[in-house]
Parts: sequence; structure tokens; C-alpha cells
Amino acid sequence: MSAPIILLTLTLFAAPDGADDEARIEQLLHPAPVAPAPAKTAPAKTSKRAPPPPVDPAAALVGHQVRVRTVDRGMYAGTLQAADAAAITLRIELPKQPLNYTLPRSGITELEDVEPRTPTPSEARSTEPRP
Amino acid sequence: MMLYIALQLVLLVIGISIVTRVWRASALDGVLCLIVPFYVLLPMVKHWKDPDFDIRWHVLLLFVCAGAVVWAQFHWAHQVLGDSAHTMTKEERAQALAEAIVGQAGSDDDDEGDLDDEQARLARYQERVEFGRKAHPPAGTVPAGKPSAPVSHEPDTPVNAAAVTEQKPMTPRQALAAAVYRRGAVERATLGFSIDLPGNFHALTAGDIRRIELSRNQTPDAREIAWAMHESMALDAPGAWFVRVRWLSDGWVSAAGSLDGWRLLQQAQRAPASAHLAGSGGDLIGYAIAPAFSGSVADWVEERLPAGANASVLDCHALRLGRAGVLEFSVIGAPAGSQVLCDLSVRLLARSTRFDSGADYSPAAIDARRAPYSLAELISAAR
Repeated sequence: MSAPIILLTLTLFAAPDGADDEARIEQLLHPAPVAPAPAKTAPAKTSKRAPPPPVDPAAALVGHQVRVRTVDRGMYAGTLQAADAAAITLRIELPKQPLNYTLPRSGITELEDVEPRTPTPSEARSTEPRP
Repeated sequence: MMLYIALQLVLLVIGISIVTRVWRASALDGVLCLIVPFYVLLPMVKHWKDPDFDIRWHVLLLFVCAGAVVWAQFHWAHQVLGDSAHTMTKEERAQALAEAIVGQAGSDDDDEGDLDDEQARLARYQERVEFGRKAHPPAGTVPAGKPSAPVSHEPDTPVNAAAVTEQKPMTPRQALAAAVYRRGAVERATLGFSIDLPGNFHALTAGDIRRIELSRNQTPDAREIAWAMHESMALDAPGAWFVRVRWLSDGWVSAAGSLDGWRLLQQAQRAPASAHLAGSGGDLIGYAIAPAFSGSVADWVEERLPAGANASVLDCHALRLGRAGVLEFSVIGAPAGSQVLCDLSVRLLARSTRFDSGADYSPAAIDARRAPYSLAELISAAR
């Protein structure tokens, strides 16, 4: 009884890496039809006042030189031009002309500021030489 | 045609009557007449002027009829070729011609001969095609200082005339229709590697690629050894993509150190488009998939803005390092957003490559010729 299970386990573990990649390629080339999602019912209102929208940390980086990592292991670098809930826009300096490049927020995993940080007034004061 | 069949029948009757006569004299001679060519001459001499077994007139008739059959056969063949040349369209004649040229110039594209041979064959093919494209001077005018061409003694058949007047490459459609898709494995024994094609992939090898590229007025890439594609992908369909397989024979490539994606991106954005890898050209926007290296395979996807284009495209690359060079797998100009599929395809093919023992990559180059670039420089087009 256990022999088929052992064989199956061995087969699964012995399967080459390529088998997974092949299956994924097939999946991407011929995606299965997606069943329509059931209509969402409106959530019941619990309070009269809506909570204040969360502060977007990306908005603070507008104008800064940033590096962006994407969910697909992507890498983009440029100056953050705009950021909203749906997308961010980078200004990428290409050799011939600058390019405004938009990335969807859902595809971004990391937004890193690479601008040399200006010291805060207190930091600046502490580093000043004392008379 | 009728004449040919009639002569064959006469030959048969003569043959039977010869064997019957000889058999009556000697059964052994009769059998040997059937088996041994020209043995019939022996009983002819043996029974010369013998009223019962003399076969000299039969033999004479046999040789006359055999000569007539040979003549009828040639006549018929010329007639058939002439008819087919008349019924062929211009494109079909050009295709037949190009196939004949490629057949000589290197239809044996996969296993035998190395890239140098292939480049030489390609050059010969291009020369011939270019020759066909050039306008011929009017009859009787020979450029001064050049010796006149030797007179051809070949018969001026319609096929030959078509070949002279219409030497041109096939149309893209014809080139695609004539292409032979291969499954299983793409082998290059002389370079010491074999690519096991995944189940749903098939490939075109160098000869077919050259024909397709020439039919599209593209400059053939001498480093290309195959195009691999998913079986559901028609090459002439809009948005079709395929994996270009190229062999960079510059030598052993150092993969020392880890690949720093940000540094590579910075270098690649400053550098002009790669001189070694296939690509869309233009400017690098970023990496849709950053470079990674594992198990002798490096893979990454570039998002590029080709010169004069409004939309970006993806160039997907996977490099399988070998001892004497690098096997490159590239999808060029894939639509934006298809990076996962594109990267999976090139990486899968790169990992499906097997080098012969002694030709496989080793981190230390032992007695191997070194390439003038490292892996990082190859990726970032720094050299």
C-alpha cells in the first residue's frame, strides 16, 4: 500500500524544475476563464464619520530620486514626479530625452529614497562646532 | 510517354525470347542470362550461326531497343520539367531556386559543421542572392576590362532560363511555409551542446532562419543557431514572439561576484545598446525583471524604448554559460507586461541546455580562452 505513495512522492520530488516552468508557461499562454465574482454587498455603516485617509508615504518623496522594486523582481530608478493611490510616475533621464514612466501601485513592493538626506535643524545644531 | 512504355514492352519480349532460346541449349546459361549483366554475349558467341540457338539478331535488337528506351526516358524527363516550369508561378520558381541554393549553401544547418562553415555558407548564399538582384547588362555589352564569361554548354532548358532571370529570395509567406519545425532537441555536436526542447516547443534551425530573414529583407545574424517557439505561436501572426538562440563564441566568461541590479541598471543606462546580445536598441528604461545568476544561467528582462517608438517593449534574455562561449536565449520586442512569460520561456530553454563533458561551464577557466567581457559587462553592455 505504501509503495505507490513512496513512488508518487519520489516522482514529485524528482520532477525537474523545468516541469513547473512549462506548466506556468502553458498557464500564462492559455489562462483559464475566470468565473465572475459575486456582486459585493455594500458594507454596513458602523459609524457616521469615515476614518481619515491614511497618509501616503510616497507623497512625501515627490521630487526625490527614488528606486522602485516591483513584484516581478523589476527595478526602476528615477525622480518621483507624482504619486497617488493608483500609480506613481517616475521621471527617468534617458540619454536622448527624459521619460515620464508610470508604474501601478499594485505592482510595487518597495519605494526607496536615494536622495542624500538633508539633516533636520536639531541634527544640524548638534553637529555644529561649539564655541 | 507512350513510346517509352511501348519500347519497354518490346524489350521485355526480346528478353524473354533470348532467355527461352538460351535455356533450351543450356538451363545454366539461361539462369545466368537472367542474373549476370551482359552474360547474354557468351551464349551468343557460343551458338553463333547455330540455326536452333542463334540469338545474334535478338541481341542486336535488344541493344537497339535499350538505346531507344534511354533516349525516350531523357526526352520524357525534359518534357516533364519543361511543363512544370511553365506552370510554376514566378514566386514558385524563385522558391525552387532559393531552395536549390540553400540546399547547396547550407541546408544542413543543425548538426554538422561549425559556425565558421555556416558563416561561409551564409556569405555564399548572400552573394548569390545579391547576384540575382543586380541588373544584368544588356545582351552583347560586356564591361570593359573584364574577361567575357565562359560559354555554358548546359542545355538551355526553361528551368535554367528561369533561374537566370529570376534569382530572388522567397516571399516571407513562402519562407515560412517551407520551414521545417523540429521537436525533441536542437543539437550542435561541434560546439558540444544540445538543447532539449520542452514538450510544447518546437524550433527552426539556421537554414530556415536565414531564408525567413532574407525574405523579410533582414540582415541574417551569423550567431543565430535556432529560433524556438511555443507550438501555438504562428510566426506570421501579429504579436508573435519566439526565442532567438545565439552562440557567442568569444570564450569563457567570468561570473565572479554577485550581480548588483542597481549598479548594472546604472551602467546599462549609460552604455549604448549591447554589441553582443540581440536587442531592440533604443534606451533602457529599467529592468522588468532584474538580472539573477544561478546554476550557470543568468536571466533578466529589459524594458526598452526603441528609437522613434512611442511604447516600450521588453527584451528578455537568458544566458547559459559554457566553457568556450555563451549560449544566448533572447525574446526581442515582447509586449510590455509579458515579462513573466517571456522570462520563463528563455530561462526554461537555457536550463534545458546540456553541454558535453568538457564543454560545460566551470567557475575557473582551466586552459579556456577568455572572453573580453565578464558576465556583468555582458548584461550591462559595458563592453
